[in-house]
Amino acid sequence: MISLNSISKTFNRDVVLSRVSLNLREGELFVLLGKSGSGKSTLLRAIAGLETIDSGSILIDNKEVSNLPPQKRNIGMVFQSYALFPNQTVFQNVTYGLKIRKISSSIRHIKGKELISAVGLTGLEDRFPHQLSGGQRQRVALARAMALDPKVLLLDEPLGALDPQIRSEVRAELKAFQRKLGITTIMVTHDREEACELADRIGIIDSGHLMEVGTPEELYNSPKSVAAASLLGGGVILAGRVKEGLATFGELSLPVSKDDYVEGGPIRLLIRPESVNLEKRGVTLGRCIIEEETYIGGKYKVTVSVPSLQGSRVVGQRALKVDEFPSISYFSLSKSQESSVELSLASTPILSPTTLSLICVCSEETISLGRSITLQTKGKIGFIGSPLPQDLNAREARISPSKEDLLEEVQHGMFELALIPRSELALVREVLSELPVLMVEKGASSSIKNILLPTAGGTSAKQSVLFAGRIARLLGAKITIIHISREMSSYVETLLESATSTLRAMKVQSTQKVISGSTIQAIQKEIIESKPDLLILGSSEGTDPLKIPLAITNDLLINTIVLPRDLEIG
Amino acid sequence: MNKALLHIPILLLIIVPLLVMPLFAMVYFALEGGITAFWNALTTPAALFALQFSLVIATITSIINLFFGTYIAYVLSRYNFKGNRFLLVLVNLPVAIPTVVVGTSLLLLWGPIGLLGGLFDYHPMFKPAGVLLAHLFVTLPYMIGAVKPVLDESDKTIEEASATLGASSWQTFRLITLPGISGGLISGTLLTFAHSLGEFGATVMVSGNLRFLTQTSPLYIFAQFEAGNIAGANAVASVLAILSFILFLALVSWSEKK
Repeated sequence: MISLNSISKTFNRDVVLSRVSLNLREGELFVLLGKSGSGKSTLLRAIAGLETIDSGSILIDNKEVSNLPPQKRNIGMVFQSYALFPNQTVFQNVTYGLKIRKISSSIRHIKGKELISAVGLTGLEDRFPHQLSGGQRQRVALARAMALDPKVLLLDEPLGALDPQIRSEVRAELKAFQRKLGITTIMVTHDREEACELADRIGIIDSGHLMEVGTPEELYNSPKSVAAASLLGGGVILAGRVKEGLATFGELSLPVSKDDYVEGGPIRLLIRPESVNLEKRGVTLGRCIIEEETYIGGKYKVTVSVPSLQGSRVVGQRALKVDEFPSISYFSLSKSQESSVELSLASTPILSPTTLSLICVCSEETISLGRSITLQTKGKIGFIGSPLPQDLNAREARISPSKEDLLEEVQHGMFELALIPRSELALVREVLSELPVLMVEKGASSSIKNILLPTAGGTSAKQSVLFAGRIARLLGAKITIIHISREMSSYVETLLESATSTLRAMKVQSTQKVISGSTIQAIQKEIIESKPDLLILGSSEGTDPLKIPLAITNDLLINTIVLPRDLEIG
Repeated sequence: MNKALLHIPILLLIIVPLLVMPLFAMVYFALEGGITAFWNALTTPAALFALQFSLVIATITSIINLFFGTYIAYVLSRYNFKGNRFLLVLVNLPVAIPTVVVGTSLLLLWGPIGLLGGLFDYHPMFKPAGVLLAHLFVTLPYMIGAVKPVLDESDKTIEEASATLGASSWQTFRLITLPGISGGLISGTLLTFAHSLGEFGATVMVSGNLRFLTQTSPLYIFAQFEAGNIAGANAVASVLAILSFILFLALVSWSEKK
């Protein structure tokens, strides 16, 4: 009944909403949860018609409303400040919409009384907003929004302006009111408790992307995205890599589904305090050293460092020294008597990294391309080598002026792609043992809209498609898959079909082609004809992984990602 | 000892010679010949015309600028566009330009040999219309200055709330925005009225100072003084002062009520 299809909005060259799609169920209370500036309020205002959108469509009651003004959308909205009309009484506020619709005064009276009693404000009809408490104002705003029997109720941080003491009380009232009326409701908040208590489903919104949708339990216990994991609760997120089909964090190896993760790619593990236990249930962490115990009322918060996780890094924290181990926390009812404990993890939710982390070997062209990709994907970038760029923003970091540190940094598992100038082939070969490398060509296109992905068969194809799909989704680019073959066999057909359906599931647009000829010439011909902005190739077999990639791109002005061999072979 | 008691004498030393004594002198001279002489000086046909003309011009100026000023303030406050700030400076320019210069510029545009006035058989200068033009020009910034800050500070989300409840832009303006800025509208109108009553510099240039046609009260006072009729000048001056005082009191009590 209410559906959003690929809504995008850019403001001052900043992406505010990026291809947001969502279907609401009849009568559900849907909460948009995100940090301030994540785009959640903009999305709500776009649904209300108070903000324009650049592309996409909004359907309310199966009617396209994207180009309608707020007056014609059949929505009710409660603003964070409540936005009551200060010169009007409670009754006048509540019946304002009816008056605008020229409903007769006798019907207005009946309906007004009804709404005011529904929110429990009978007797206060003639008060002005400034004579009401915060909770009462919120109820007036709610009754006013419901006066025209809207198809959807939009709530913009409706409890944000209330004192913390009465917030939980009003929360319960709000939920009861919504249940009673059975109206489809979208609520925006940054408060996770509020989201969990009220929502039938929660949508996690981060940097304008709708990352994940699920029930509060699903998102708390098994989030897929880093954003959901960190927004819905405490704990730490560890950075690791997929090695031989297993998610590896220090000595810890966990099974992952091959269909979702790329070999050699970065992977994240969420460790919630609740999942850490002393009973040897689940995955054992071995002996952990107690660092700190803090009484937090009723229980102790225990912080331990975990030797078995050495080599893995905690996301969002500084790099560890050689003799340091990653720290995790858990709750305990009593103070520990010893200096170390045996710990296990009852659950191990694996997350997929949501933004692209780049490591960039500095040169004029890599810095400019790296910055442009980071801006588009709202990702992160670390610079290494010299000259390091000046005036870094929040998404950028200086890692080291020495290129010697590159391999060590890459092995930490924090990065997903390395940007290296095409001239530095030795570095490219070295990093390629660990990570996909984007060989940056001077003068090649820096805005990536079309990606060319030549593919062979086998598992490798699946893995390259997953990788290319992820890059394309983050950049909003299209993929052209080409398969070099003499004819369309049923094998090729299945292959291309499965690639296309994988990409469709990732919400990436793709086209496919089968071309004949020798591999190198066929790909070259395709590059010259279709002028893609980016080429994604596998490593060559044999001693030099760059043999075929260099042969193909020789003399062609194009940026090329070369995938590591293990990613290629699978 | 209370520090305020120390400052009061100094304050009085400044205010009394600067403000109070001139006003007292005016009342003294006006009443020197007694109430009857004062009344006779005030009720000469030329004096009555000047007072009436001033009131009529001030009323029309206030009404027209109420619309112009509110409209301009609304556009500049609600819409963010290129040149917004430049336009704001432009509409406030009359405050900075000496009023005599305003008068001159109007003459050079609309006068018999002016850029536009020269093109037609009719020109508004040295006629009541010319006086009105000058007053509109000079008082526009006071209206905008009173309304725009109120609009800037008013909660825009209540206008959005009105829109989500089905109201058109005009309904929202009439039912929500306008009641919210009524204070600004009233003080802007009173300020405009007061400034129009006292306007001299621009008026003297564009009116030609014609008795029974374009002579406003301030021009009448000046003309009578020059002609040596101090009692006549003083009578009208006193009435003007009292009128302005009442307007001022209204403004103060209004803004204190808010």
